[in-house]
Amino acid sequence: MRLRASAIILVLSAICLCLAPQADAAKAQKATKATKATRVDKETQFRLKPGAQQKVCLTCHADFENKLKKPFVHTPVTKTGCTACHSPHASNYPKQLNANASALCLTCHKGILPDDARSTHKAALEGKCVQCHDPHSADNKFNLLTAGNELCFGCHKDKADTISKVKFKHNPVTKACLNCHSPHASTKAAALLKNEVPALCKDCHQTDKSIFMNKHMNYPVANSRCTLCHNAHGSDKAGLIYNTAHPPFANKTCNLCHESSSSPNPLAVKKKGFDLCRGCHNNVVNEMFARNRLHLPVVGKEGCLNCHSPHASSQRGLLKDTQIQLCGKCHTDTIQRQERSITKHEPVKKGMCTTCHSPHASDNELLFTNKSTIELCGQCHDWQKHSTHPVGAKVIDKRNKNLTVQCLSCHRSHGTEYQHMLPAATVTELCTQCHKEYTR
Amino acid sequence: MHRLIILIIVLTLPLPAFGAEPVRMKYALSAYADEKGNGLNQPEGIACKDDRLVVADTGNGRLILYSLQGGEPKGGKEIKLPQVVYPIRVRVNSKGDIFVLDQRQRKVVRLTPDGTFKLYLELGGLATESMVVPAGIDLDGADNIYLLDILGGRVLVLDADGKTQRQINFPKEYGFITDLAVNSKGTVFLTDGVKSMVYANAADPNAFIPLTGIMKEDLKFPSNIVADAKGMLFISDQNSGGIVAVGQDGTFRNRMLSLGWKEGAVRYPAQLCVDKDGNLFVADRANSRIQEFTPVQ
Repeated sequence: MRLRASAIILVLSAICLCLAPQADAAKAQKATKATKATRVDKETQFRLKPGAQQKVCLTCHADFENKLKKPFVHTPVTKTGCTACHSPHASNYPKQLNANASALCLTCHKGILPDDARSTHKAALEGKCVQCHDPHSADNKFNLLTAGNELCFGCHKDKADTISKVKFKHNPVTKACLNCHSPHASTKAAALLKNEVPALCKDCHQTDKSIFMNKHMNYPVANSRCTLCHNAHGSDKAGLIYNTAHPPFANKTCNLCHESSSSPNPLAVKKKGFDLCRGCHNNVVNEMFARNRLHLPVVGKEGCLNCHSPHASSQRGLLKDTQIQLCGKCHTDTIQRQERSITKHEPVKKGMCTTCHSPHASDNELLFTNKSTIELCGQCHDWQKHSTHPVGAKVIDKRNKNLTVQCLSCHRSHGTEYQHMLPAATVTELCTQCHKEYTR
Repeated sequence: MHRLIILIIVLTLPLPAFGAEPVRMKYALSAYADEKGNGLNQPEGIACKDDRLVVADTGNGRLILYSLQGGEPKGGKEIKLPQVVYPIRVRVNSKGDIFVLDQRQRKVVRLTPDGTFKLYLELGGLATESMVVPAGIDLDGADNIYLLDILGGRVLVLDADGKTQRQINFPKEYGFITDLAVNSKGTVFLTDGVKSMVYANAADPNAFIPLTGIMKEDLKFPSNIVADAKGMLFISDQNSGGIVAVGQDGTFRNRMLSLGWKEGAVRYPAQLCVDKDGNLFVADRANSRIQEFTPVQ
């Protein structure tokens, strides 16, 4: 009895399986018929010319006829016609689109930008889909404007540069950026990465092999962040190590800073904060402590590692990032002020903070590299030294007897909302702060 | 009927009656020099206690002792000591002893009320991390000393004699702690310069939690904090020139002053203190002066 029942179930399942694709095909046929029917209905309802939603458009937009012969045509173009995205009569949007370009694509491609995205592609977020996709047709899959990495390199020129010039290339990167990055958004990691590092790297690199352990001096780094030492986009150093490597790291003398690899806590460092670095860089620390003013993060809990990478970096001086990014992490308001400023100060714009400020310590206000602001500014603005408003230690600021007139008496070096980095809306307003006799 | 009347009264009360009153201050005066007329140079520290006002005249490497008469600083005796090289913060205890934080030496110097050197604060008996880099100091009503140790990522609590009592670790996920203040109840407040937040240990004396949210809109880079006798917190906004008032419950109460050279404006304001009458004194660093603001009722 049981056998008979099982046999019936099996036969029924087989029939279902055989019918399923036919059902799908029937559904698809039905849908096409429905689309055609809707199109015919509309044509009847609005007394449209035959093919009014597409073919009629081509009478004027003749160039599209060839375009639509390309291998990959956007589905709405073939199914609904031009009116799927364009209004035939009038529109509030450019190119007579039915909606704002950013919203229009998302009406069909809803899942492109998930709510829980941890990182999003700026172009996708801003609705600039056409930066990568042709909305009508293309020679490439997904209607991409160009195939492969070329498309990404159109914007990410610095990466293109690195990848083309480096001596040691990372194989997946040369093949496709999309091996590691998602094109629109990532719900798993920053920088559009498909997964967090090191999980992403572990998809290819086996961390339990002896070769991995040997290369890492038997330190248990399998769960460490690979990109702290390795440049995933390529490097001139073997092992894709960043171009600037800390000598103890490059020489594989890890135990200069870390406990022994066989100790219970091998990744722990031997000393905390600046005290660890002092072992080799004693002169730097002593020089720092001989100054009146310290850049306090240097003596903070993380010490030197607030700004420097202990292993390797793509930046000079083992900095963790470019100066503008690094300094801007704490001094956000200062960087933003420059961005808002009408007049840009070149060293700030170029992220050369250390042109004027000492990153470790100084005897001068605001950690300036020169006691005299006039001398400091004069490094670049040398005309200040021969033709200028009276400035210097002997020229008292009329607004305050404790101050002397110098560059910062009239300019804010990180910019203001007024021209020439002035702290007042007009030159008159500024000058009459001292020269009150000319106040109207 | 009674209930209805009460309901009508409550509903007709103006809404602001339930909101926090904004704190307002008006400019009172500026002081530019010591008793001999020698000008201040980049003062960063200021402390008020009873009728005394102590200024750390940082750029000149000295302290100046003023007496407060009717809320106005008078006199201005210079204290210049070999033991005090680069004073950046000052506080005065109930006995009049002056505590000076010297950044060059990374030490706290204790002086007698008349400004004679007494001792360097020795920090012994620490449970963890023997090295200390002090970056802020405040005292509570019982003269206990609170030190901001940025190297250890903690606040050290010392008794009146300077013996270490306990430590409170910085909160998790902090950006960079710039200063601390203690109110009359012994609650400790920390300013986070990077996150523009204030933390407090009111709920648990041994742990800091956020007192405010991120206040970037009103507070660009908090550098110094003080608690007045009523528990109001005043915070220097160093980079954009202003003082922000925050209630002890963390409510934003006002942003005052603006950046400039005129009296009443500030540039790179540093340490703050509030005297017994509620007057706020500001070390107006880049303007090389101190300024006094009185509360507006």
